[in-house]
Amino acid sequence: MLELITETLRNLFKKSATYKFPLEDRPASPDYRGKQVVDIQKCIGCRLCAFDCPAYAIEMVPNPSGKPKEYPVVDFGKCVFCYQCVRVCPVNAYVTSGTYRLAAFDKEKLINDVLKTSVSDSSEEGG
Amino acid sequence: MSNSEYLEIPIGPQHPALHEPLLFRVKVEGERIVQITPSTGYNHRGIEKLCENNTFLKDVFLAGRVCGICNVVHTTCYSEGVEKVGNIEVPSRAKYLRTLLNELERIHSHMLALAVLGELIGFHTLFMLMMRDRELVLALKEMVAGNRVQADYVMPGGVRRDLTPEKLDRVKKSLDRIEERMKYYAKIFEKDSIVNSRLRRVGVLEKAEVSTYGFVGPIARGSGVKTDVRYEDPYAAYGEIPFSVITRDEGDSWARTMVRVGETFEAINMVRYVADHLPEGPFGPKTMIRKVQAGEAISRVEAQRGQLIYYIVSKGGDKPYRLKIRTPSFNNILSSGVLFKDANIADLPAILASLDPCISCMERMLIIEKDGHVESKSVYDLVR
Amino acid sequence: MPALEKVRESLGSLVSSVQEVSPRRLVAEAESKDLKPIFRRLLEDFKQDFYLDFLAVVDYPDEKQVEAGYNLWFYSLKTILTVKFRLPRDNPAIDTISDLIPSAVFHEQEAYDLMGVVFSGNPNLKRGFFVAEEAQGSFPLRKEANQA
Repeated sequence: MLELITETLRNLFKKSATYKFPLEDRPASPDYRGKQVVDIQKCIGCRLCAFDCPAYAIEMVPNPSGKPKEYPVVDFGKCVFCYQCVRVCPVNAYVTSGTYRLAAFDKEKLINDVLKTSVSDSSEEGG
Repeated sequence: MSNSEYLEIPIGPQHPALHEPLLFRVKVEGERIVQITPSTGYNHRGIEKLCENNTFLKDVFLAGRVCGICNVVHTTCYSEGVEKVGNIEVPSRAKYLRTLLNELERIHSHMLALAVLGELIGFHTLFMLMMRDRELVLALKEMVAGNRVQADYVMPGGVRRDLTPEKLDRVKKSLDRIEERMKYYAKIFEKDSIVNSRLRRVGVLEKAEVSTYGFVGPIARGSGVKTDVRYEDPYAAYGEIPFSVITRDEGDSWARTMVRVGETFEAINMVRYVADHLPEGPFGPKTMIRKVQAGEAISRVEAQRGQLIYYIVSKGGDKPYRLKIRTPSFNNILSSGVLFKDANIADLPAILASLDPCISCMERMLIIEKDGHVESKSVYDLVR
Repeated sequence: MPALEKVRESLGSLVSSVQEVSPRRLVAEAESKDLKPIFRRLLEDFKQDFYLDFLAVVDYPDEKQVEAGYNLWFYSLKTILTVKFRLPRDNPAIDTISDLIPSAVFHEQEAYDLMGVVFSGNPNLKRGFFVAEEAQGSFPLRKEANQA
């Protein structure tokens, strides 16, 4: 019993164990599996990422400028961030990051087409 | 005394004492429990059927999403099953890395079980302190696998990421701090008078009943039966790592709790051993496994709550023909009616927390239908 | 192998064959009428040394059969024994063992609700939550349910 009282008193003078999120920002560690974006200069249109996605979240869309013929469009509403697309790509065309604040008010905004708009970090919008 | 004179209380499916939906219909006489019947099916998701429609490679992600706390053991068991059916070799470094992550998950899951036990007997300070120290383990998992909870680390043929020597040093330094805190908590569970009076001689399970009712895991080891898959049927790198199996003879909730505390210390030592003896070599398969030859296999691993079994049948294509999952909570929770003999209503949370239920695991494939009133033909018939 | 010999000696002619298919795993095949005699013999010879691990049902529509496999783990022999029974697909019925082994009640209940195998004598067999009211009469794990 006595040890618990000394432990409690000691904890009064330590710094708090919780982060004041969202008032302060809490970055993820560099190894975290966050939003992944395709680099269209490297993509060759092989379709392996769309074929292997377990959540059926990647769709191949025709490219108006011709090179590559098709490129992947990721729907972050369905993505489970397993990174199978990153691993299976033969030219390492996916750029990984630690972004995890991806919430939006509209489901259409979650579909990330790199040639049109890009899904922005929701902390930038003040959300 | 007929059945209708007992008062029937439903506990659940939404209840502050339960972390997941589960319905217990409890018949009481005053404060004493006369009969208890669990009823489930609130979390069912149809995973076994879904796995038949997806390829072997995609199924490893489905298997990892059966349960949040035990996702590493589910992916390990599935990968072992596919490797047995397809006769696939796993490199030695991958086996050791799998062991490392499995034991890290065991540490954080047992800390969660002990913290929840503390909360359910009313000891909120212990719950808060253990959850704060459990964050150290979750930070280690994030560094090794990429996510604090859902690791997605193991795949058929190996693992998906490698570890550098700097990361191994950080693992070892964190483990020293975790062990120091665990020694403090072990002292509380062993010696504190209030914790002891709530847990000792409550929910006693005899040694002979373990095999009749099919209990597995720390529940069986807390009643004196020495059974552990890592010791009897070694998988991954467990055949090469020295460790001991913790058993206790008392059979009550306190014995089960002390088994979990002992296993946490063993897990810390095993992670240290792996970090010191990691062999060189490749960490993953050369090519992704797309087709598996025909055959069937059973793979067993020791999850945190007991023994987990996957039974895989393949007909030589790229999709499994049948995938059967039997989780430890299936055996433990549904037979648990026998533990509540002559207990008070106030003991129900203490006994339930010492069983460490994982309802998501249990429900990916099962159902027990409830009638309007309980009949005395049920296996949980405890009416005197 | 001592485990194989002990099981063969105990079961004798009640099963048609016992083989060791991989380390620590034995497979035996038997007729469905011999279910209760097999378990009575195992309980006499091994008493508390084993428990019912799981009950797996697999649908083989091409062979018009449903296979039920009872898996038992033996503590001292450290092996798992699978006893397989083939049942006709249009009427899969077999005895219950829940009077000999109480924990079998819910294993059999799951097999009934998902595949439609009837265990005569089981007190708890009911249909329920999986299949919606309109679609009662189909079993989710059978292969034809893929088209539903």
